[in-house]
Amino acid sequence: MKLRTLVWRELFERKSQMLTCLLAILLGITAVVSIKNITYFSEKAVAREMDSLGANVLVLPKSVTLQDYYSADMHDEVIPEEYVMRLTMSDIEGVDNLSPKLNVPVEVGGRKFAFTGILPKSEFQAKAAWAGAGIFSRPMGCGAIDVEGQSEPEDKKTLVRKRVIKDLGDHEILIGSEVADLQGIAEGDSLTLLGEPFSVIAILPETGTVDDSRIFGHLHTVQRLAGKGEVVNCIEVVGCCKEIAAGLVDGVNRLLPDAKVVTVKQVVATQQNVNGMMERVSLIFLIIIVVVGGAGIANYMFSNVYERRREIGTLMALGAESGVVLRIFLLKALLLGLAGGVGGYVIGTTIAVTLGPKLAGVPVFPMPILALWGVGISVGITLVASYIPARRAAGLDPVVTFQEV
Amino acid sequence: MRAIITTLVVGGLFVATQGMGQAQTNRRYSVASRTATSNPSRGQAAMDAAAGDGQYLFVFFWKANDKQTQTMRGVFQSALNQWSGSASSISIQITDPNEKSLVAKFGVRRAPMPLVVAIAPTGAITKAFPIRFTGQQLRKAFVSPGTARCMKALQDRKLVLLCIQNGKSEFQQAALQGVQAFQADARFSTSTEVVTIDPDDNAERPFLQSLQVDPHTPTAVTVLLSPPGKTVATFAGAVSKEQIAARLTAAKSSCCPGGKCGPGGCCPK
Repeated sequence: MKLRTLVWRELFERKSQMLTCLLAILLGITAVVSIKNITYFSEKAVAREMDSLGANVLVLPKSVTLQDYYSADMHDEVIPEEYVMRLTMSDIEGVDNLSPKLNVPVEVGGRKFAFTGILPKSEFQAKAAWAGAGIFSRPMGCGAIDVEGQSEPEDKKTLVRKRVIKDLGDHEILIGSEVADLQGIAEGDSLTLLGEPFSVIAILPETGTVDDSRIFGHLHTVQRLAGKGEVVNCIEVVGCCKEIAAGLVDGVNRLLPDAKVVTVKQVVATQQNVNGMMERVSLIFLIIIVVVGGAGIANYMFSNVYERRREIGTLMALGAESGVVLRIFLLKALLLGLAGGVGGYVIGTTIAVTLGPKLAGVPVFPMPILALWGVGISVGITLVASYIPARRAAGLDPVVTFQEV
Repeated sequence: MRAIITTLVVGGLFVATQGMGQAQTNRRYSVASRTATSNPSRGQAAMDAAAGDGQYLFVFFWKANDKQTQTMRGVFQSALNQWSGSASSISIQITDPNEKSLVAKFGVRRAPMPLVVAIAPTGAITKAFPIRFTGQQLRKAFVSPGTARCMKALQDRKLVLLCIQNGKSEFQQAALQGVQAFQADARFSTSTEVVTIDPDDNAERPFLQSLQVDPHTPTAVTVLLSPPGKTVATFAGAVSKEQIAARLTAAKSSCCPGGKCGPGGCCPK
């Protein structure tokens, strides 16, 4: 009889007990893999936001709480549009690029989208020069060298990356990728929104954020059509350096005491806290697997050795060496570990990919490296837990076992 | 005979027609004149008058005659009374239909009110004061002639080559030649203004200080400024068109200006 036949028979000798042990390992690995998978992509999204938006500051109505940076204007509270000019005409460093927004729901082709009014930079950037002669002593700062006749034509599609647009006509709109796909809209098309015709001047590239389901138009046109007056939902201050952003917050707070000033760091703080908590939970699960799963495996193996001591004694009497017996039990543990690791990875990854976007708000994809981790941990636990029982089985004296018959 | 009479009649008719047309034109002009004089923009007239007199004009924009506006109007008038020789003032309600074009020109319809805008004789807006201000703060609107000329050009979205030199400066001619060559270049001619100031002029000291230029420097200094007032480059001594163009090109394409700085990227020094 071959070794693997012996091992296979050993595995199914006590099916219920074996399945219980396997289940414990499987569930533990499932939990660890799914948590690690979701946390990885969530942290990546946070890092990406911090990287591209880390220098940005949001000016919001006082009563607004914010979970997601990209939906900072998706609420009903407003602040006066004049705050834009107050910022522009102030001597605060780093307010070169402002993006005030007003959000109004619209229906297109039977679906609801966000019609977002944005103010082109050309309508307020001249006021930056009204800050007085003190402007000459400021550092060079951020923002383009903007000279009459010297500037490159603007690529409107950079709105989603740069967050600011230089020029936009009263009846010109930019469409998010999801809106364009769903409605079959192309550049140059006409679209009627809130009873007025608009010309689509650009389809924006996909970003994976809520901006994909927006239609961007001129702020003053949106204000007029919505009948909301000269107000905005938020003002995005697009910084180019985090050090400037740090000093900006205090200045803006003093200038606009009736508004709330939020940094991207604060926006992502909640998500970072959740990520940290999930890391700790995955560690706890790991400890539980090691303790509970390992104890379960060890108990299973010990009881297996005790119940099968006559068979083990018989095997040894027939010429099987201690090493063979040891290998039988360790191979049994290895197979259990492999099954638990692979099964746990598959189920854990499935849970992460399906539930991750709902829980963390980010797309989650399989991570093959976690298969190695899952199998490694699972096999490690089962081997370690089975080593002592396997050594005990290998050290059995056939004469003693036969005496019990 | 018949021909002569016909000619006289036709000629007479022709002259009469011309006369009637002229009378109509005169009436339209008169009507137009009456229309113009009955609804003139006081703000524009004040701007023209102040520029002609070489004075600063302080424009007090307001929307509603609320308590804040009344208080600030008092501060404004009190301050302007002290400068009656060097500055004039005018109060403009932004909802006045006669001032619609002026309000649109300044783009202040949605600005925080009340708002004071100070205009130098060059036409440059030297400072704006939204909502609340003091007389002392209003005084900061007065700038040196060199500053005002630079601000005017920058507010017209032009580059400014500021030549800080006089007859005693070393490399004066060489610097001036480089600047003139740059301005003559077709790529930059329409978008560049050259302003020269004397480093010995005490009035320009604060301006030079803000540009971090030593007024006692023996060498000619050339500063390249871009809107709204950024110092792109400073050249001491002789400078060539190519050097100026190279610094401008580098500034246009470098990380911070017009670009995005990464987490560990550049920051202004």
